[in-house]
Amino acid sequence: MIKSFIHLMAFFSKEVNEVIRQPRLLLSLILGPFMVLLLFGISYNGGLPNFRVALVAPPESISSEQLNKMKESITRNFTLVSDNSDEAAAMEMLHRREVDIVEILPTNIEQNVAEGKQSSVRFEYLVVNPFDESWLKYLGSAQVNAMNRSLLEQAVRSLQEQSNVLTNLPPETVVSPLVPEYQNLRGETIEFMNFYAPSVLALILQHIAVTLGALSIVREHGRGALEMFRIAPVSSFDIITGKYLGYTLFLGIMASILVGLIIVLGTPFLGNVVLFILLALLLITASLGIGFLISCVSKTDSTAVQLSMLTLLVSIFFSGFFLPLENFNSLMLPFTNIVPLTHAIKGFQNIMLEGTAPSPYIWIGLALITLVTYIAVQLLFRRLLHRL
Amino acid sequence: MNTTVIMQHKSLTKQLKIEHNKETNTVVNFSKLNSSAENHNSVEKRSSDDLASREAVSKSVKSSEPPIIKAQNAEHLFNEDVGVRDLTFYVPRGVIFGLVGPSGSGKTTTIRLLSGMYKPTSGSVQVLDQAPNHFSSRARENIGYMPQHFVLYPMLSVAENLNFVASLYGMGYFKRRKRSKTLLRFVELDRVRDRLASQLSGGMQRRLQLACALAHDPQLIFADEPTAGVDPVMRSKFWDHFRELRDEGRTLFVTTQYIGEIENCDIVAIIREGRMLYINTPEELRRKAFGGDLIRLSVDPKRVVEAVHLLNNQSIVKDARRSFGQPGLLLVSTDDAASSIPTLIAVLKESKIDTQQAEKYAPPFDDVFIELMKQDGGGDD
Repeated sequence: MIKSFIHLMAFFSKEVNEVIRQPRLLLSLILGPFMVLLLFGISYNGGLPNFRVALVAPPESISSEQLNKMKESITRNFTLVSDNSDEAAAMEMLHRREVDIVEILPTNIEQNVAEGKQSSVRFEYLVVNPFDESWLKYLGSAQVNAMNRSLLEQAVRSLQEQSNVLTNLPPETVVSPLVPEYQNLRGETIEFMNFYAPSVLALILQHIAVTLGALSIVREHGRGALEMFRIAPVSSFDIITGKYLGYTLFLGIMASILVGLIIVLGTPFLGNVVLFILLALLLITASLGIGFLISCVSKTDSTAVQLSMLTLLVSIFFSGFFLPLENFNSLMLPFTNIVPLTHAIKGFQNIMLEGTAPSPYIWIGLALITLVTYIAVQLLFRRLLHRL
Repeated sequence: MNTTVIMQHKSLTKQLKIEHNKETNTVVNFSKLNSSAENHNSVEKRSSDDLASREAVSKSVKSSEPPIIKAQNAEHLFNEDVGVRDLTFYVPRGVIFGLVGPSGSGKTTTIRLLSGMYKPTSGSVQVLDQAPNHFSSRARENIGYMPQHFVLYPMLSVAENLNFVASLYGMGYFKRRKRSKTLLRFVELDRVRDRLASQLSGGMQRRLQLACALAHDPQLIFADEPTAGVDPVMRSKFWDHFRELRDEGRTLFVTTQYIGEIENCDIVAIIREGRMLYINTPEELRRKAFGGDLIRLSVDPKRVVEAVHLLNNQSIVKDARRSFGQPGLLLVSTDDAASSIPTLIAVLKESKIDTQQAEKYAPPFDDVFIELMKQDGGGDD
């Protein structure tokens, strides 16, 4: 029992000493991610896409008063670059990438309405990004609604003047009896950087834990140190558990420093500190497990690094980091649950931004990943030792 | 000539040291080894007769003290023709056992087989009275292992590496601290104890590796090519360390591809293509290679042909030949140099041939090795 403790402490202090002997690594591990977060916060404005528009308004399409109102409506969401009646010239601008959208108003709108026909406002564009296209359609639709309301208000006003009906009601009330009113009970709207900070923190912790774990065993294997372990009276349990302890301590300290830095940047921390520490430790051990698994199956350092990067990519796409999990096929959801980041993002946001305790599902998810990977690593490492 | 002198000097020093040890009774085992070696018929060679001879050695060893290593027809093959096979040998306690062979001959595989990293595919191996692949923790605590390459941690200091390895053997803090001081002094690294392993020279790294192998005070030490890539001065220091350890009663199983290092071992096994060809003391291997003791005689160059003819007619002479490189020099093979030299001088004197110099000649082990390889039919390798 005492010898086992000595073994554990041997690996624990060895891993810690090895890491702290590399100041550049330390700097890149702590300051690097912090700088990424800082740059993200400074540079990302989180607004809507800024579309440049060339408006084509045939002379007979709309009155000048209506046209001015329409321009006002356009400039709420778009940047109006040109405004004339020459459709061909506007299309040329589009092909020269001088504008993103050519918005073409229909001719004789009022006449069409009188004849009971709808008129189309055409949006011609060359957009590659599907998110931009979705925004474009959404903003275009909102703009056409605004134009419709403006036309209706004008029509109501004319009717009121001609028939003395509903003269006591303002035309905008008749046309839009309901208006939206928003109130965020949490208080002021959170900034994008602060919203993403817990997710970025979780991502950084997971990635560093996976990378350190992935390089740990494969390097010792390559160097020949496993031969030494094979002959010494030390069990694979002691070796692996000692490694877990060493890296967890190091990553725990790193996490504390990162949390301190992002709080300085203005990210709120509303929840329970103890819960946060426990969740961070679970994230670290689950991620180390994945890293050690990679290390046990890799033959070289470069394979381990490649697999770590692959894990990072998988985590970014399938954890809800920036693509909502609800948008995925339901068959994919179980897969997203084996990524520690999926649980950690939700949990960190719960604790830091909402001040609530993470759901049991999150704790169980991370604990299961930790347990399963720990057992798998023990088995694989034992096999590795016996197949030297 | 110089080489010969050095070799003779070394041999004499070693003999003196052995005698001294016998007198002070510090190395009992070496004398046992000598007696056991005498009990079997000089050099062993791989053949059916030879196996019987090895059995005789084993019985002799068994009768005095149980050997620390026993291998009986042990074999470990990676595929049908690569690996080691038919390993039958015994290593008494308190000796330096040298396993010599060219690169790829199976030295590392043998060490791995004996240290429990490999399991024999057939035959049996017993080390410290246990099958290595089922070593108990206690047995492991009695084994030190020095791998062929530097396997320690470049980002840890000398003292931290040593401390880590000692911890692997369950040594407590105070014990580790004390042992670390002793060992670093022993391998002359005490002045660089805080230097990172990555900043050590190759020789220093090998010494650190040796210190780590000794961290837990093992009784049996496996050293896999400890002197590979090390300069001659450092190699000599390594062997000094090994002899000190042997004199303290430890057993060392050392592999090397430097033939000249055979001289430093108490028992030597020559391995080639996975088979042990010879196992014996260095002196007996030398006798085996040249059919007995070699005597170097120096006579008048004008009468050297006559002298050769005369000596070859003597019953105690197995072979006499002139040295073409050095006029007047004769090399004579006899069963026993010490008793033959006066007789040979007298025979020459009867024919009025003056002997200017007569001495027992110990040819360098490179020559011994080549001769043995020739006898084994592999001289062209």
